[in-house]
Amino acid sequence: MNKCLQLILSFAVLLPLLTGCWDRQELNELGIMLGLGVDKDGDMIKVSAQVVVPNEVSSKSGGGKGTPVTQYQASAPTLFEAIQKLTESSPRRIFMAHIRILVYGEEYARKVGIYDVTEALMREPTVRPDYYVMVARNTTASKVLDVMTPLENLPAEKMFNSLDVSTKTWSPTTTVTGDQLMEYILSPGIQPVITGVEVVGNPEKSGHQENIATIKAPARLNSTGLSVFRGDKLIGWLTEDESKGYNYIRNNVVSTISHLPCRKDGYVTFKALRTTTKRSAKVVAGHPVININMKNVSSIGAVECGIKIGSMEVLKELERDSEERLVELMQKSVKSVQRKFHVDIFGFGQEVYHADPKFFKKVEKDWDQYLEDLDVDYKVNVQIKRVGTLDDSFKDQIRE
Amino acid sequence: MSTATQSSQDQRISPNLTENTDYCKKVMGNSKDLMIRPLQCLHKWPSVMLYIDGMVDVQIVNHSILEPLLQTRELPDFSAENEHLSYLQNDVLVASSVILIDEIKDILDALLAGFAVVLLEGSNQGLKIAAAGWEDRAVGEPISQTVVRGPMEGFNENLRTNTGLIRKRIRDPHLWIEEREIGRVSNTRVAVVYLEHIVDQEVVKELRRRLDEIDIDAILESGYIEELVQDKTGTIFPTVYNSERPDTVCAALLEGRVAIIIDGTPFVLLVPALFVHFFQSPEDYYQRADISSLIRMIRYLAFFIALLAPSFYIAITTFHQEMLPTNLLISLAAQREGVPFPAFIEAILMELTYEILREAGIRIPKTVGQAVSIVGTLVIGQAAVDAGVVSAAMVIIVSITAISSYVIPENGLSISVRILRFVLMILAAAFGFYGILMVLLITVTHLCSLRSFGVSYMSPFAPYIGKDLKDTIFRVPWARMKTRPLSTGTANETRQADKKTKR
Repeated sequence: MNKCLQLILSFAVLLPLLTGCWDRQELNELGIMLGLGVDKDGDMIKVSAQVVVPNEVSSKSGGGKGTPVTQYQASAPTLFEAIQKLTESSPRRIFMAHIRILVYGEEYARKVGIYDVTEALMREPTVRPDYYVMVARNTTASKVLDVMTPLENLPAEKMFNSLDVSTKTWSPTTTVTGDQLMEYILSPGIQPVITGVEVVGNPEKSGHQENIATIKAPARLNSTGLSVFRGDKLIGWLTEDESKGYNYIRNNVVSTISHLPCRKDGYVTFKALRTTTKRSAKVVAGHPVININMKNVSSIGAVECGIKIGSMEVLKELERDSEERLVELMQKSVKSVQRKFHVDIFGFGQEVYHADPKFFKKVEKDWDQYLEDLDVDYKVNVQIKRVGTLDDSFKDQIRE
Repeated sequence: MSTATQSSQDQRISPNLTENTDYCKKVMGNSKDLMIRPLQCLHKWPSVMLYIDGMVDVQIVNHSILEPLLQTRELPDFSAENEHLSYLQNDVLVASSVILIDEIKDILDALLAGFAVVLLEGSNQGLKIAAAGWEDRAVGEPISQTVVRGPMEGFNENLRTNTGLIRKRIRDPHLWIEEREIGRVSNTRVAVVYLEHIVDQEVVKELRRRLDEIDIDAILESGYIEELVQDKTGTIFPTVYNSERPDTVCAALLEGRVAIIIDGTPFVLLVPALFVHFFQSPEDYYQRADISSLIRMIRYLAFFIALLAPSFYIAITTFHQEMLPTNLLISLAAQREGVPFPAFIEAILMELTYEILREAGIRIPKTVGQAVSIVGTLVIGQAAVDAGVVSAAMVIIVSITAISSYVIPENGLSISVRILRFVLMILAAAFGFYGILMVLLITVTHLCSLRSFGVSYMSPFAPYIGKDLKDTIFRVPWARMKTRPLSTGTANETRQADKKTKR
């Protein structure tokens, strides 16, 4: 008994010494930041924080009087100074653990580079690195975070979800989380790519409740295209087709819809059910060759011309056409990146490194030159597994 | 034994009747319920009958004692003086138990135990005649431990009825019942019941020793004995099990445990009691094994919810907000908007309110109980949230905690949980998960150090006894319950002969 008491007493004395972090914060003392925007402000960094207004979000306590989120801005030489400075205008401490999206202003990404912010956020222990990174195309992050969105009333949540959904069902976008971004910046033989987001429509009252008062929101957020980085600086944008090609090569496509011109007129629509791409490299006599092997399982979505979809020959033909189109798509993407940007966003260098590390070490410094006339071999295998609930198209049976 | 009788210990019964009756009157302070009935035994011998009104059955006194004593009959010749009493004992009285007594102290003991005493003029012996009969509660449904399927009989306050209820279920001469009287003033009868061929004799010996050591004026309930015989007093965990169900007690006896029945209470104690016993409900063994196992697991889950839910809520909302999914965090934050207290104060407030309501609910007369429950639900429920004093989430947490604590079948363990819950809440408010972990570590260490009559409290988990796991977190079908629990040190392991019972 006495021994037990001694033990408890010694625990009681030692416990406070061991804690190290007395950081009790009540929920209603926190400003939960969901979106973080980074812009250039002269020499300084301008931080825009999209903070939740819990009262407005809850369905019970009032709501509807104000906006569900508010935005605080502050400028300072470094990120954390700026974030701490937000408290000048915010009544609550900014809580960073729940960042859903990080938006870089295009100007900031082009001129300053994303390294500083990435480093700071990865070092900060309270921030979960599972936020998505985006680039505000042709605009500033502050404006992107100043748009009210219907359906999902927290704009940051909307951006997170819509990027998530479009990546899973539509090939031109891709998600990059904080830790992936750091990996892309650091790994040899690959350069980062970040999906862009733009404000379309009339941004005049984008941050106003009125923006969601109409069926068609005047200002909307669109995630479009991929931005290409050299190191940590943005150097340009891929078109939609190039983005698709990129995602096919990087094995980012889960399912998507694509079309193929018919032999006669109109299109045949394909639904990709599963797509897997394997990249590999070989170094033949000091000359690297990349092999891209893609397997695609599709079903037919719609047939606009009167082809006999029920016959095997037609299907085989369609498979062949589709294969050709996919090769073309990837080829175009690679070619244009080689021509326009001279950076290895596809991770071909990584493959070469895996295949022949010694060789890659030798050429790592001028890998971008190697990239320009890199031989890429495409092998695509498309299987059409299903044709939907109709057999042949009934276009020919329409009565005039 | 009171002080008055102590002086007259070993004093023989006097041949003079008035001396004896005067002595009894004096010792009992002329209590009105001491009845002294002078009579002429068989119309020949002057004698007196004593009994205490209220402790004897008047029917028995009239028909089995007075009627035979007051008849006229042919008497044989008596040589010795004491043969009068033997004659009465053997030939006249029709009561079931008639015993000769010698000492004057025995008269009082017999009277107080509900016997009638007959004394003869000129004899230095007496007769005590069983005539006990007082008002008892009928054997009814056990109130504190109810089942849907299973026997609906519960113990009552009469020791003899209770041993009968056990005998009725275990018809085996090996069921041994040792009786003793404990309590200097109350002289309460305490019975130790065990199955001689199954029990670990060491446990019985130890229990005897501990019972004999007890020196207290009165035992009014089994709780007295429980506290006096438990291994360690400095613990919040119960190391003695109690039950008011005969079937539970019989099952325990068959597993090699020892029952202690105390006269005057329906709650029978069972030792040794292990941690796992407190999660076993008698119904587990009457229902099919599959559902019993599922419910067992839910019970263990409920134990942890009852223990940890408020402290987890405090720790997460004040220290580890990053652990919640974003949407849940925002929803919780919205609920906490405008709540004036920190989460800890809020939780303590609600838990205290609940404990007060609970206590009031037990004490309150049944007629006003309705009103309290309405006020109670309003206080902890709607009104508190609407007034913005507490958040809705906290009400959910407190409610689930309260409900979960009733899932534990035996009340003793849920009391420990209630105490520990407050400790956990304080530590969670100060140190977050770190504090919770500390309390849990200390608790587990403490639990592992506990013993109940020499048996490790946490067995069969620690020390690990693989064969005993069949009736812990799950219950295997009866066909597979081949052995008795080994942790209780039973001398007789085999419950079922080792042959296939599967068809």
